[in-house]
Amino acid sequence: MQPFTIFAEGKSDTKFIADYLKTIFGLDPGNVAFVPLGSWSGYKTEGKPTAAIRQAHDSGKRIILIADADNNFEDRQKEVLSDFDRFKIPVALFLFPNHQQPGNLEDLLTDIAVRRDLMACFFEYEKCVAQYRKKLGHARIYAYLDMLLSDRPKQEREKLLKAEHRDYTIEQHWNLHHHALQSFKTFLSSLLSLPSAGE
Amino acid sequence: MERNHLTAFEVGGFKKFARLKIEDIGQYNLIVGDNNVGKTSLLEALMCHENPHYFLDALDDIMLYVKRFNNLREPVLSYFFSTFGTTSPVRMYFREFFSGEPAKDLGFTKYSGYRFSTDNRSADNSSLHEIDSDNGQIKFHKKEVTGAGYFFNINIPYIPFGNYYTHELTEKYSEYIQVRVDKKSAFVHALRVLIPGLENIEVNAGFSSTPVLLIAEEGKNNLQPLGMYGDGALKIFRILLSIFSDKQIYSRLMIDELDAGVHHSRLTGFISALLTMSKDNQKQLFATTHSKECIQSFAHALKEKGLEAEGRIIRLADTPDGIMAYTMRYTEFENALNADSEIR
Repeated sequence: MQPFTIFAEGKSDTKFIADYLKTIFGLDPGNVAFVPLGSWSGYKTEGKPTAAIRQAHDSGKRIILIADADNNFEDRQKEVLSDFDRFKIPVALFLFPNHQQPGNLEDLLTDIAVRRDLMACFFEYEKCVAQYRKKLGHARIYAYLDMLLSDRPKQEREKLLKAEHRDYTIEQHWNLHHHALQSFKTFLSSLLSLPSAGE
Repeated sequence: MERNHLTAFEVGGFKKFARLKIEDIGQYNLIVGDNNVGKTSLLEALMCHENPHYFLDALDDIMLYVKRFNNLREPVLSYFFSTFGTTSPVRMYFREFFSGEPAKDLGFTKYSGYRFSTDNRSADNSSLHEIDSDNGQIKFHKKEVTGAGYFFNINIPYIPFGNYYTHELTEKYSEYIQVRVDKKSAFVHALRVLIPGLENIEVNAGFSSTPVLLIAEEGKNNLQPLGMYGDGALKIFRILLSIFSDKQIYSRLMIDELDAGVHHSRLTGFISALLTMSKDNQKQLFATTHSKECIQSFAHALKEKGLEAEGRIIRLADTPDGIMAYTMRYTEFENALNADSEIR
């Protein structure tokens, strides 16, 4: 397998991907190189690849970029691939939620949340407040976890609510085998089975 | 950027650098990277000078600082040559790029381990660098630079890691600062970043068998020796001496482990003062660090002083093609810091 570096938008994306790789592919997160970008376009600066991208490429690492599709999947995909084509650096790209539709990681997490009864409450709440704010993805996931962790001591709960400490491997909270993750699994499977240049 | 500040730099055959090119250099540069990737070596390479004798003197001085040899019977240049291709002639070269000017080249060639010569056209004293073979041992001619530093009595703008109080500080302070009212005032002002109550610095010959530097602080009756103020104060004292001294041959200043000895709560103030001094004295700054707090303080200080456009982080990394340098501008490393991305 060619060594790789995963570039993702933020800490929550990084933790989710690490937990997914560990659960589905048995990869130790400590052996996977992650680089948070801060935003979907954090791989470039002044139109050029960032030092982290150049270094990974020069080091023979495969670059895996995982970001949100946001409002328009096709436009986001086109811009990223066009940038890397211009950089002359190969990239493997996946856009949440499923590399087909607009959306983000929170949409995917909403789909794989185990406690549908709780999620239903938030949907009702969001309908009620829609006139004030349309997208409540981050707040929805935070509130979902806050409810599930309500029996934990305060300090522990506050820690586990932070993006970098969330535990997506808890089966009672998240279903990492959900069909909504099929395209993500296929994407990662294809990369993890690729031989390195010398093999 | 001043005209004599580097915009790019290339070095080859030097220590572990087979070939290293750094581009888009700023006036204030923080060098980061893994252990043993060559951060300190890069600082040493940046001591190159179009007068090879000055360069040799600087390298000689650096070896004394870091105590790599107990005495300088070892060939100075030999230590700094890379180990690549030792059986055939090896060339150590430096290429400096300045804004709007052609590159300046400086090189030394090592012939089969027997002889050094300088490629520099302006240097005519090449016999200084010749060595003979004596029973398989390499020796320098008597004229080789083997003195204990300051052979040419130039200011060596290199602040090493973990260098403590020595009488050389007193000597330099007495010679360059003590007798100049304007310099002394600026010097004292800058040192207050680590000694806030500092009122005056005195050279006292009666305190011990050799003159020592004494610090007078507001509200304190007794003067305290500078050596008692810790590594951070000594470090900034050395930096200030380097910036304020006469006999300035270099327009750049190299500092190894910038944050060592400085408490994190004072780092931003320390770096801000350093940036101001470098700016006021047209110095180009190169410093190394392993610390994330230092990188954050560097970013804060650049912003505080409005110097973002001239700030760079240069990351050295080992790749299959050798050591490579990656230059980041302010926007990029600020973004990386905000994203909690590892940039050390």
